[in-house]
Amino acid sequence: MTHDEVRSLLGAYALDAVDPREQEEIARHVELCPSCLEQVIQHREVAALLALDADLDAPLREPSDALWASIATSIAAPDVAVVLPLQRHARRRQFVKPTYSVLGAVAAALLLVVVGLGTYNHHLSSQVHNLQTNSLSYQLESALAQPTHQTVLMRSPKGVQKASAVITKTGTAYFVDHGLAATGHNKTYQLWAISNGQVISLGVLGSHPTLVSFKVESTMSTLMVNVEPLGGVASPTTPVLAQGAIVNVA
Amino acid sequence: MEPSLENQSDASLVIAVAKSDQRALEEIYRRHSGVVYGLANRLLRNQAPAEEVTQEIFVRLWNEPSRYDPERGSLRSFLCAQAHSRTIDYLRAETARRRRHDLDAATPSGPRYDVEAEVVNMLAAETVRVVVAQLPANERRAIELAYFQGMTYREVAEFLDEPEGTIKSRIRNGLSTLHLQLARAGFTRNEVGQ
Ligand SMILES: [Zn+2]
Repeated sequence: MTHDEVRSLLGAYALDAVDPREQEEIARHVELCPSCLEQVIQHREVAALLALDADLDAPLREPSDALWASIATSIAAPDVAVVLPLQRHARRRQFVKPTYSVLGAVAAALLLVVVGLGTYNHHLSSQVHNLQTNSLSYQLESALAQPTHQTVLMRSPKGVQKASAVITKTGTAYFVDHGLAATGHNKTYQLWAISNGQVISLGVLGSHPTLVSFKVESTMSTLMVNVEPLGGVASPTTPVLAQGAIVNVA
Repeated sequence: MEPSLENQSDASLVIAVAKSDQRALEEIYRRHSGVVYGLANRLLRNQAPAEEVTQEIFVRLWNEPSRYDPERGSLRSFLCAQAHSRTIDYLRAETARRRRHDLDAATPSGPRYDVEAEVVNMLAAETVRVVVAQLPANERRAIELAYFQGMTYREVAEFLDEPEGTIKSRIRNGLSTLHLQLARAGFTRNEVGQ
C-alpha cells in the first residue's frame, strides 16, 4: 500500500473497521510514517470521545460493583506479601449505600470535594451534604435526559471550556464545573447573568463548586462566572473568567 | 496521609502502576472504567462479556503499563482503542458462542468510577452529541456502523450499497470534522489529539 492508500484508510483503521490483512499492513506503515501516526492518534481521540456517549441507550450504564474486586484479585501477584484490603481504598465511598445508581452511588466523592474534607470527622454534616448532592446529581441526570434542556458552555476568554450550565424548560439550571481551580481563602466563585442589559447576580457558588443549582429567567441572555470576596458582592469587581450565551429560555 | 492520587495526571498514574502501585490502577479505573465499559457494552449489548473486556483492559494495563505512550494521545483514547479492538475481536470471533458467566453480583464492592469524572463525562457526552448531530447524515451513519456496530468499511459499503471508496472517505472526513468541532467546543488538544 502506498502512503496515499494507507491515508485513505486511516479513519476506518482507527475504528477497527479494516480487514485483518489491511490492518497489519497499515500498522506497519504507521510505525514508520509520523504523519499517518499523527492522523491515527487524532482519529482515536475522537473515537474515544464518541465512546463517552456510547452507553446512552444501552441497558446498563456501569460495570457491576464486583468488577473491581475481580480485577484487584487478578492483579494481586503471589509474590506481593500484603494485598491491601479494598476497604481502605474505598474510603471516598464510605457513606454510600451500594444500591444507588451511577451518580448517586458515588456522590460521596463529589461530597468530599464540595466540603473540602481531608478528614472523616464530619460524618453527620457529610451525610446531609451527601443527600443534597445526591439529589442534585439525580436532578441533573434527569434534566439531561429531557430533550428540551439546553447546555450552555461557559468558556474562558481564550475559548477554553471552564464550566457548563444545563438549563431546563422550567428555568431550573445546574452549574457544572469543568476544571475551575479552587479559589483562595476568603473568596468565592459568583455567577452572573445579563438580563435586560443589566448584570445581575445569580448567587455565589462557593470556593470550589462542582454542581450547584440556580434559576434562570427568560430575560437572561448570558451567564458569567468570576471570583469575588466570600459572601459575594452586588456587582462584579473582577474580570469574568468564563461565560456562555443562553440561546432560548422558554 | 498518602499523597493524593486524585490530583495526579493520567500519565503519572501510569508511571505509578509501573511501580506496582495498585491504588494508582484503582484511580485510573475510577476515571475511565465507565467509558471503557460503556463502549464495550454498547457493542456487545451484554453485561458479562463487556465486563470481561473491561477487566482484560485494566489487567493488561497493570501487566504492561509501558504499552501506554503519552506521546501517542490520552490514556482514555488508549484504553478505548484497546477496548474497542478487543470487543471487535470478541464480536467477530465469538458471535456464535454467546458466553454467559455472570459475575457474582452480591460480591462486596470496590471502587466505582468517581462522580466528578462522571459529571464531566456527561457534559462532554452532551457536547459530543451536539457535534455529532451536526455531521452530515451519511458520514454519521458510516461512523456509527463501523464504530458501534463493529462493521468493516467493506461491510458498511455493502450494507449501504455504496462504493467502498465513498465509505472510506465518509469515515475519514467525518472523524476529521468531529475533531475540528470538538476542538472548537473547548476540548483540549490532549483530549482530541493534535
Ligand atoms: Zn503515511
